[in-house]
Amino acid sequence: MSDSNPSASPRPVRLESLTVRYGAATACRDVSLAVPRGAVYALLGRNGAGKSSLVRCLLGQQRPSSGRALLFGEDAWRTRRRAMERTGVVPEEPDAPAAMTARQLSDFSRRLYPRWDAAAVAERLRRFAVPEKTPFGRLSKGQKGEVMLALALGHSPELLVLDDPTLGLDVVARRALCEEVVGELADRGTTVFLTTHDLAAFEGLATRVGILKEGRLAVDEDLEALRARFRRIRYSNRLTETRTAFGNELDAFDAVRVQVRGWGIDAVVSNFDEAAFERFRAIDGVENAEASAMPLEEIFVAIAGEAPAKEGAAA
Amino acid sequence: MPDVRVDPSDPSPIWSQIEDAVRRLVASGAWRPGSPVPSVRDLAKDLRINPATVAKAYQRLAEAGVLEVRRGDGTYVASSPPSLTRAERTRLLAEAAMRFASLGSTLGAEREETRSALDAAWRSLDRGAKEKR
Amino acid sequence: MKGFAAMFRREVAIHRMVFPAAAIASLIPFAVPPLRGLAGVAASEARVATAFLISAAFVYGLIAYLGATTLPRAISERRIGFDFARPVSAQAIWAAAFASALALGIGAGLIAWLPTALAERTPFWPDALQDFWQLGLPWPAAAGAAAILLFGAAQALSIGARSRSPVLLADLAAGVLAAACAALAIVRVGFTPVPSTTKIVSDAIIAIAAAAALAAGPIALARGRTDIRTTHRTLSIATWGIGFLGLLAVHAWISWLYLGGPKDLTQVVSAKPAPTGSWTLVGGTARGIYTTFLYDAASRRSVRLPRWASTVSFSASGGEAAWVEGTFEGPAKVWCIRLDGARPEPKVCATSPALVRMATLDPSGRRLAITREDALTILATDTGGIVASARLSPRPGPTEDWSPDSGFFVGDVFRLYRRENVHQGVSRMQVFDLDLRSRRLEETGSIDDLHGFPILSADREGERVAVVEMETRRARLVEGRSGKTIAWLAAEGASRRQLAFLADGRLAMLERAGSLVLRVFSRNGEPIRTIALPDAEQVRVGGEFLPGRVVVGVGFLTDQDIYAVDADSGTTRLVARHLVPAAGSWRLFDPPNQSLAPGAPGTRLFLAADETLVELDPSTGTRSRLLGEREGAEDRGRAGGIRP
Repeated sequence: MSDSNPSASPRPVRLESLTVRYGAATACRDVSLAVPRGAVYALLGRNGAGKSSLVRCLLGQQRPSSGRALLFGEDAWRTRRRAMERTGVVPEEPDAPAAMTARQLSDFSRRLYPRWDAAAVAERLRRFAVPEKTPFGRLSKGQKGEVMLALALGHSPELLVLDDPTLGLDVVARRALCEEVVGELADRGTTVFLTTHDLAAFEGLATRVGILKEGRLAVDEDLEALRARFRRIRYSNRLTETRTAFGNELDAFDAVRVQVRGWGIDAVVSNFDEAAFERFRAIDGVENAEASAMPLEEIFVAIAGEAPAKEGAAA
Repeated sequence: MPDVRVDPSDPSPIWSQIEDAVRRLVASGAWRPGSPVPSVRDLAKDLRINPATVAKAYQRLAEAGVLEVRRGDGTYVASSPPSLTRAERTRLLAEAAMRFASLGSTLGAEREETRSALDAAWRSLDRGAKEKR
Repeated sequence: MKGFAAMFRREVAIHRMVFPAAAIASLIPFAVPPLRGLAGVAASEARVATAFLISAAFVYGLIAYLGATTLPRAISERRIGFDFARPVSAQAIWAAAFASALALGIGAGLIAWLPTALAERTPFWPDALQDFWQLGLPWPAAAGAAAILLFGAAQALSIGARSRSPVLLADLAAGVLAAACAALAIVRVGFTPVPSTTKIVSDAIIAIAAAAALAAGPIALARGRTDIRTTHRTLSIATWGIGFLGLLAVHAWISWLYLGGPKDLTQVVSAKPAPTGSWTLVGGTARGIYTTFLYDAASRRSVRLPRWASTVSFSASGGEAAWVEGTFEGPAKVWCIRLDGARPEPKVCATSPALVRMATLDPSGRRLAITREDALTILATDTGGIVASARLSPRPGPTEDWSPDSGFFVGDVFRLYRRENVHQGVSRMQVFDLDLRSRRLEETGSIDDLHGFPILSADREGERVAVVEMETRRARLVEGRSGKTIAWLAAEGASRRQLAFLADGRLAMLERAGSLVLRVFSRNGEPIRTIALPDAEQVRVGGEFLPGRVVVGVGFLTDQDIYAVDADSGTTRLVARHLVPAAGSWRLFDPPNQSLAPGAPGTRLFLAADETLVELDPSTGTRSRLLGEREGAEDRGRAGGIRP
């Protein structure tokens, strides 16, 4: 999928060396990524890692200090209005006017887009059990999020941008939101770009993952490939007294984090394959070796060095 | 219909897990030949995974003859067992065998342990098939 | 447009509660008279006034409130991302906020006003308000400008307050500077007041402010988007950029106005010709500014005079002019200008720490006499060097009237006439001669028993002086040097009296006492003849266009019939209409012995009633327009004569 092919349409999202600085501090540093059509890109990172600035630049709401953000192949800052015709946005904080009801918001949106499926929006709201006539400001957090999602999908956008969509939602609301996005993917093949802490919820959805660490993109990889090469290897070293010393036997696997425990060594490696593991098992001294796959959350912790912020943590 | 489930800690790709799960359900008789299977959309929603992933698994199963797609009607379990060439059967078995062997290895299981697990699985399938008759 | 319309509707819908509120408030005017015990006309007036106040409060209160809250709050509370995540342009967002504020404000105002308007059957706007728009703008434009400026200011202040950016300090400084700039522009055109020019400048300033308010908002929002600090910064740059550019243009235009020449004169309202030669002091409106010029009709050269140069006097040769710059108390400067040469330039030829009471040039223009309260000084105009100087003794008693001194050069002697009060209402004029060779001042005589402010005229040699007292209109002929009365020319009782010496020494006196006559006297004060003229309120004696032939203007201040009067034969002939002779003005500040030479070009200059400067040959009646701009100023040609 190369953009140099003139007959292929440009990628919905592309960041080229995006850098955002606030005075002396740098929020994002030289971030480059591309999201192909139909992909689901999950951007992970702690709060303060630069995600909000990145999303604002992506949506043409902020000008990067250097580099650029491209929506559908065009500069997001310059062509924001056109790009928003094809994009649905669910922000981190629901920001619809508090005095308007969901019904009024749908009517308002209808006038902004060439196509607006009011019936589908109403159906979604009914599915979410959101009252149509209650002012937005008086809805619960979950209901607000659902309204924002319904409004974002009403014009059948080619690209859906979600900024931490499950923040502050209970389990039921989270699940409902995920299912809604899955439905959209199944029906329209929408491209999705989302930022999140809730790795468990979106692990199934994401096709590609990016991890922001201190403003830099430490990882930008297909999820399957990421999951394939990360393993947790546990073993003990028979040759040493404590069974916990280790030498260079893990070198082949590019160990990311090695911890010494009472029973042996607990390592996270980033370059795993079965054949190499067989050879590892055969190394003299290595015993009780086992390798287990890691859920995305654990991979994130290993890379980012700390857990993603929990719900309610200060932004 | 009994459900398909995926496990994030399972090292194998999700589409592969779905494919294996469906095969298991078909082989054990839990999903009867000719019966409709959940649509891509429904299964994806249910599992909260990317529909493309489900679609990939279903496509492979359809190519392998485990499922059949009836145009405009949906996807069904194949009414008759898949007719594969010997080469295809060998390839599929080899792939599955490699996955199984790798899993055993990464779990740190010894060869014996892995083999006896395989025997136990066959016995379980036989039991399930006997109950259905 | 789609985005604008949708956002406009949204904003109005969100604030729709103002309309019921206005409807309720519209009832208040009906409650006021009963509460205050008024009835009849007073009740009606109270209702109208109350309704107007409530309506205006809704209109401008809502515009200001919405200006300060709609966008600024949305940006600072991070809710504007909602609008920016939609396919609407920043300009549409801003325009919708503006238009909805206007619609809500004006709509609510109308609703509040309507019941009273219907009940009282008043016009849409109270009459008193018509006077308010003295600025010259029609009231819809003024009200619209006020709405735009109010919205813009409220929004800018709100953004500035919310951004907590140090740019606010720069805004304050820029605001003060802009206000000073604007005030300066008004002052610059206000100094030489022509109301239409001041109006243009004030309208332009309002337009610039409105343009800045309308343009800076959308520009700032397009640049700042969701960030309030960037929005604030861009708003400041755009507002002050547009504002100062506009003010610069205004100032440049005003400076251009001040570069106008005599050919730019649209109205000529004053003209004073030099005694000989073709130079004239001309005053009028050029490029919308009241200006005075020294203008040479022959060569079309001109010198623009500063604002305060009002009392310009010429030398008898017509080659030099002088004027005084100074206040009533203060230090003063005397400027002189040599009128030969391609580009005459004024220069300061004398300074004085005290008030200058007289500045008189000698006939050649080479010497200047100035008096202060305590000294008489003669200077050379080219070097500024003192030729002669003498102390004047202080005058006894208070000088209640402002009495300028008079004097003239006769050969190498300067003769000074200096008035002093003797006792209540009666004064005298001392006569001094300052010999320029010996530099000695000698008191040579006095003109006694003056009842009122004296106006002096003298013959060319200074041997005879005619004195008219302004209040009593008594007129006498005295000896120039001693001040002794030679003959009484007239007693009290006329309503007008003007005296002028003819070139040959005879006296012409215009007198209005019941009817208008021109009396001719010999150089010794013997009456020779009396010539009747048509009676009129305002009369003016012009110059001798031929020896013995004088023009007299008869009629109103700016519109007179011009008669050619023959002092020898006593005949009068109507020569032209709707003119006023330029000669014969400003006698007060000229040397008494200086009148236009017979046949000088200045005797043919007239101010027309249509505010143009006209050259008229009284002998032939041909006339042509010199300065001033009037379409269709016809050549009147010859006019018939009128015999007395």
